[in-house]
Order: sequence, then C-alpha cells, then structure tokens
Amino acid sequence: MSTTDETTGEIAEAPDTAPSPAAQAGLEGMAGSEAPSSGARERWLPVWGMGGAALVALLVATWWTSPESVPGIALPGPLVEYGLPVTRLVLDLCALAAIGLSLLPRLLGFEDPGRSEPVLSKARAWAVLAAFGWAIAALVAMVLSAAEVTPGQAPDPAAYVEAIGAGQGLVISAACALVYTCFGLLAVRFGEKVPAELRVVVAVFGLLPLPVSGHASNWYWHDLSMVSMELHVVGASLWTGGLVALAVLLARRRDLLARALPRFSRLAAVALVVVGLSGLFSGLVELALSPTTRLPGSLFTTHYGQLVVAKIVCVGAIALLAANIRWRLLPGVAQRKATAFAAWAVLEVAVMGVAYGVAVALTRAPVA
Amino acid sequence: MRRLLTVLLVACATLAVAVAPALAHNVLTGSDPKDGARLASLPGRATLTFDQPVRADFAHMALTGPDGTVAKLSVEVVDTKVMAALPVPGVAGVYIIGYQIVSNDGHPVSGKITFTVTGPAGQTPATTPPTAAPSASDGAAPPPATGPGSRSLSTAQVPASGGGWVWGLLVVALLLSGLGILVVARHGRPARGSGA
Repeated sequence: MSTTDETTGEIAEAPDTAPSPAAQAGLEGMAGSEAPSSGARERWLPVWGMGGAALVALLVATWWTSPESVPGIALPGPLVEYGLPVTRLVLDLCALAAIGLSLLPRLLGFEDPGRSEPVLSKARAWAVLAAFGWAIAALVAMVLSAAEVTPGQAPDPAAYVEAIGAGQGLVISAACALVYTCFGLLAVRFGEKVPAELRVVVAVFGLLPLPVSGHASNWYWHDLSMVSMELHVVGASLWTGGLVALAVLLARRRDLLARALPRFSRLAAVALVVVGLSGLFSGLVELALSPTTRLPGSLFTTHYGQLVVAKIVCVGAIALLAANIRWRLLPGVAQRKATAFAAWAVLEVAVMGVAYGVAVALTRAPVA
Repeated sequence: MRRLLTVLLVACATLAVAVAPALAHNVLTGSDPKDGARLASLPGRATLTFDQPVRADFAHMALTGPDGTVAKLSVEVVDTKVMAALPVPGVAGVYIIGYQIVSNDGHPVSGKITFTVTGPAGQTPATTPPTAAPSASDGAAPPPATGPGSRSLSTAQVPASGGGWVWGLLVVALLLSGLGILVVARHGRPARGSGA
C-alpha cells in the first residue's frame, strides 16, 4: 500500500488552507502537538467515501431488486422508486453521524480537556446539524412512503401515518432526532456538562422505531427477531458512527487518536460480533420463514438472499480491514507514531457504506 | 462504556416490548386461477391467497384481457384472501391479473397471475358470478354485501393502531428543538476551550 503512505504523508504536511474559526480554536487548544490541522478536502474524505459508496451500492441494489411492471396496476414513478431509498440512506447516515459524534466524548475521555475540547466542540455542533438532517430525511421519507402506497394519486401522509406502523415509526424517529437537537444545542452551549450518554441514548432511541415497524419484523419468531434487529441497528450505528467520527476528527491528531482508538477498538470488537450474528440470524429467519422458498437455495435465487450474501461479504471485508487496524496499526497509534490509519479508515468506512447501501435496499426487497 | 451499553440494552428491550408488534412482508402463497393455468372459460371469481392477513385498504386488482383492455376489479378482502369478481363474457386468450397490496410492514407488494382461456370466443362461462359483479368499473363501486363486515374483521386482525398521536410527539419535539435554538441564541458563543 505505497499509495496509502503517500496519502497520509501528504495530509500530515498539508497546510491549513482555509482555517475556520472552529479550526483556529482547534489550533489554540493543541499548542505543542505535532500535526497541523489539515485541509477540508482530506478531512471529509471518509464522509465522501462512505456516502459515495453507499449511494452507488444502494442504486445498484435498488435497480437489481426493482419490481417488474404489472399490467393494469400503477407503479410508483422513478422519483419514488429511487428517491425513497436514497432518503432512507440519508436518514441512516445522518443518524449514524449524530450517534458517532455523540459517542466521541466517551472515546476521548476527560483526562486532557485542553486538547480534546476543541475537537469535541466541533463534534457537538456537527452532531446537531446531522440530527436536523435526520429529522428532515425522516419526514421526507414519510411523505415518499405515503406516495409509494398510492401510486398515481397525490400522497396522503396523514392517512398513511394513521394506518401504517412504518409511517408512525418515521415520525417517532424524526421526533427523537428533534429531541436530540435540543440536547445537542444545550451541549453546544454548555459543553460536556450535558452527559454524552444522554445524547447517545436519545439518538439511538430514534433509530429503534424503524426496524420495529419495518419489513424485518416477523410474525412467528417476532420477539427474538425483533431484539436481534434492534441489536443489529444499534451495533452498526455505534460502530460505523464511531469510526467515521474518529476518521474525520482525530485522524490527524495523534495525541488524541492514541487515547480514543484503543477504546473504540474494544467497542468495535463487540459490535462486530453483535452485528454479524444478529444480521445473520435476522436474514436467515426471514428467508427460512418465507412460505414459498426453501433456505439453502433461496440465499442465491431470491433477491433478498442475494443481498444478504452481499452483506455477509461486506462484513467479511470489514472484519479483515478492522483486524488490520487493530493488530497492525493500533500499536503504532498508541505510541503516537505516524501511521496509515487515515487511509485504512477511509477504506473501512467505504466498505461500511456499501453495507449500509445494501441494507437499505434489503429492507425493501421482497423476501420471495 | 459498560454503563452506556447497559443503558442502551435496557432502552432496546423497553421499546421492543412497548411498541405494538408490526407484521412482516406479505407473500403470495397461492391463487385461483393458478399462475400459468389453462382454463376452458373465464372463471367468475379470482382469489389470491397470502401467507398473512391482508390490509383491506390499498388493495388493488386489475384484469388485462387478450386485447389489452384493462378492467379494474372491485376487491374484497377476507383474512388472508383477496377476492374479486371477474367480468362475465371472456373471450379466449391470455389474461393477466395484476395485483398490489400494501404489506403489513407498509411496503407495497405487487405481482401478476397469467392464465390462458382456451374456450371458443364469446362462450358463456361455466360459473356465473354469484352477485351482480361490477364489471370494468373503476373500483369505486362498493363491495358486495359481505364487504363491510369482512373489512372490519380484517382490520381487527391487522392491528392498524391509530397513529395520530405521533404528530403530537413531533410538535413537542419541534418545540424542544426551538427551545434549544433559543438557548444558544440567547446565551451567545458556544462553550469552548475551558472544559471545566
């Protein structure tokens, strides 16, 4: 990976092209630390990498699983067919950003507020913006979902929400995101006196209604597969969100990364097991209980099964990338050496983006 | 970190228990006439059977005839079955029944059943529809006599809980968010640097 090392070298020496007030605050706080704050382009690479990978994966998967046209029945137009999954993806990405940024104080700890505070103040402000994006995406998704069930007519969101659990779930999720912005704004004003746990819990709570009211719930093994789905969603957003927050905010801050990455690594190990097992369980139960197909074959013959396989491949790739960071890079990071963490993190986050894109398509794909 | 995880687990468990169970994606398990069937004449009724109770609202069926004319059918939903009376005189040829229902998880499920009528053109069907079937109407006709009863029956089985209360939640959340904006606007600059 020579390109990787080149990239990081470049980034470490890149001058601060456009210092925002926040970045200047960061510079004040980091007197004595080695790496200068880098340009905006490199900083946002993980976000673009993840968003781009997720969008491409989602569009391909949606096109792949799009239902065939049915004579005599109006199907939703392309605006709904592609707009709704994209909106759901924006919702998921905003939510995981809010969760990851809220988690950051727990990862950084409070040993050295002078250094961590400038980073945390940025994280608090961004988390509020992400939560606003989340709330708006949830409401747009609600309107588009209403349009989806009544193709050819004007959408009636009120009736949709009144009658269908998924609509209620989206509104509850939007409300949780708005409640989060309240706590987030209080944290913007009063700093870490507003506990990070509170913000994480409110944000995670906003994700819970989505699987409860969704596709993956199940009639026969309802309770078990429900808990499994919730663990899956919570684990994935803590894991991915945490890594994105580290990659964006701490990749150039060796002193802070040395403290946060070992803690995150423990969380990631738990998340990998939880997300992998719960995802496998949910996907297989959904396929096993499908009345018209049989399991080993349906994994490859149905669209749903193919997407499950795609996600399993993603998890495998993520596990390898995570193992690389954990065993090859972490010792160096912990000793504050220069490492290729930034580039590897971008790669891992991009694969996570693919998994998220496929996940959104999976929630909509017919089981049989 | 352990405390955080514990709190999250408890929150999960609470919500998973508290929120009314939603149902999964409906799957078509059978139909009458069957997909690909060859029939002597056009049957009087078409029945689609799903693996779970079907929501009565949003269910649509349409019959496309051999000459490409589309007749929207008025649909009757009983439990897991969606039924519709077919238009009476059926010429020979390939017919397609298209259907769309909204699955219990809120996703639309659509598909088609294709069958062939082999009988001579203009032949009267062997079974006449039991009730005066509204043929080729725009689906606006009220369902037959058993309609309202069966409709309420299926709504009882599919818990379509009144969801209006979530709007109140949204308004409260909006007010809270506004409060947060107000606090930041009134109290000036964001906290930074001190940490203590």
